[in-house]
Amino acid sequence: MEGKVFLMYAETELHAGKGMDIGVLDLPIQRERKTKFPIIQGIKGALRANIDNDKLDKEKIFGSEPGDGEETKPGTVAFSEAKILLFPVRNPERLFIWVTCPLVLIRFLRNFEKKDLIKHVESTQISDSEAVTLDNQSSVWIEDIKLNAKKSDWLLDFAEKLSIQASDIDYIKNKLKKDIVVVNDNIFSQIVETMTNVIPRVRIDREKGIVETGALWYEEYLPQDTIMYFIARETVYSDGNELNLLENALKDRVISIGGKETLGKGLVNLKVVNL
Amino acid sequence: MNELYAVYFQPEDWLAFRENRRFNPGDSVKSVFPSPFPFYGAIRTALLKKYNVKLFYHKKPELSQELLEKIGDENNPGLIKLYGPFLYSEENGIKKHYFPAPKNIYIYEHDSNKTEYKIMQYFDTEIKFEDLQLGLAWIPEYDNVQEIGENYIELQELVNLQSEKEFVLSNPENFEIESRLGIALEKSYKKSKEGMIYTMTIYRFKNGGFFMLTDSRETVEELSKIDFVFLGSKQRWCNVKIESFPYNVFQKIQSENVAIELITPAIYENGITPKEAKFGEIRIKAVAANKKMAISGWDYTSGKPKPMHQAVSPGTVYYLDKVPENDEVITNQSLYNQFGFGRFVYIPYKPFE
Repeated sequence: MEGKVFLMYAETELHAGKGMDIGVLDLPIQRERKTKFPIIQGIKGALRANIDNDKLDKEKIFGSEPGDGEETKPGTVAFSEAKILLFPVRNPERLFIWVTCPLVLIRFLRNFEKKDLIKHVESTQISDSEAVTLDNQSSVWIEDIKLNAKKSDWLLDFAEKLSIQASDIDYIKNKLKKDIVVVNDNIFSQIVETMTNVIPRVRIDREKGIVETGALWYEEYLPQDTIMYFIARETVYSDGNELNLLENALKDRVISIGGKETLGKGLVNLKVVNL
Repeated sequence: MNELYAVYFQPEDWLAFRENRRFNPGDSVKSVFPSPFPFYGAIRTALLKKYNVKLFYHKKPELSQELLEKIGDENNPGLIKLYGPFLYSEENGIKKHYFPAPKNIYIYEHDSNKTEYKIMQYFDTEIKFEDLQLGLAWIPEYDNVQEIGENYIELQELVNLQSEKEFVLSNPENFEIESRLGIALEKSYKKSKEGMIYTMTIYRFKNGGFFMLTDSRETVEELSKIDFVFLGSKQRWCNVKIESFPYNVFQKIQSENVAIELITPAIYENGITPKEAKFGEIRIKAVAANKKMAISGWDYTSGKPKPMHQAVSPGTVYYLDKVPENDEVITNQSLYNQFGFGRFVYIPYKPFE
């Protein structure tokens, strides 16, 4: 592959907001309009803000800063959006499990040219009442929804390879080897739309010590343990070494992405993966 | 014509092709349907990288004559000969190809509530359009006529239309136009800079993307050297694949009365038509015109916008008085025809009786 795939493991809840919205949620997260899959658009800006100048020539990698009146120069690395890979949901038997779907897996595996694995994913038919699992259980609970389980060897192959690289913590590695399920694209779209964390927030009147009138709002977060990824690629202006420099500056680091940083939100652990 | 090949550009997430105007902080810009230029630029840049040519921003690369003849420059496409772009979708390995819908289509609703897409007939009269004398593209019915809401025609439906069989128009459902918000962050604080916010519309594909056609083996050979390009605004990554195209959309049709539909933009001397409303000796009898579009681009080597032209949009239909002996009589009339401007497909029509 010609780029590097960075895995983002959410160590705290994530809020990459799309701004104010009309509806129950005042501050929803960013999503693809067609699929409702969560995304984070501003990866490049977040990385630039998280790396110190002495660690990396930021202008060379990310381009010149906008707004100084002169025309901006492009960077030497192009970044994809951050895309969802595994979404954690409550499970009464295993505390939580990670859910994904064929479309998400195909998009991810395309980056590694895993044609055989992609063919297996494409040829697996999953109905609305089914889920592909890693073990021989007869059913699986996704929050309060019970789905018929069917085991698949290709998922085992994927989980094995991913788990080795996704975390340094053995407990998480072992959990990834057994607690990933695949549902169909439509069910996954509904899961990531309805099973995010929605948190009410208030603002307190400093003098009265009570909630200010009208100061109640709802924020949406991706749960802790969500796994996303983005791809970094060298552009035509690169010298051919920028990706290695970027990897060295970022790998195994915990950085802050998205909003509500001072509330402890948005901490993600970065790993470079190659399946 | 030689065998046709399709070159598929499958974006990783989204693509944007900005309006032809300056873009400032605090601005809001729309993405437009792209002209061929961003695709030629993206391919040329990817090939330069493949040929190990070091590129510097705002500096024209020094190329050998041999390489210049292969991959061209901003005024000359070299060996690269592409027609498009068009849209495609792909689900479970099955591709559907969408071309611009001809502007001379209307919907007729039968008594049984069955709807039928029909081609406007040619009405032999004389109207003055700017300084041209033309006939009319004419809807022969007075009642039960609806305007079309679809902007595309899928390949198999185009084949049906060209064969004078029943056809339908459609809108592909594999992409959405989304609004994207961008901000600049303060250098020392992770908060947005005052006034540094912009919005732009983007094409987000669930599957598929854009494709272009070529009948040139040399183009296929050159493009086989690249696997991806950075395309459009914000350098978005696209996978590139070449496959044999299942049908020659450019072939002549078996019909006494022949019209042509532009499937790429055309820039003509007279605006909506070539000079004197003629393609060489072939007279244009009537026009069903789409809205004009602006064609320009950004010259990365000089950091300046390219000249701007008003072009005839894809979908525009010209009713002709006879069938041209060769396609060049028509394509040569458009500026930038070497970049695939002014490409067309033949469609049939009937005279009004």
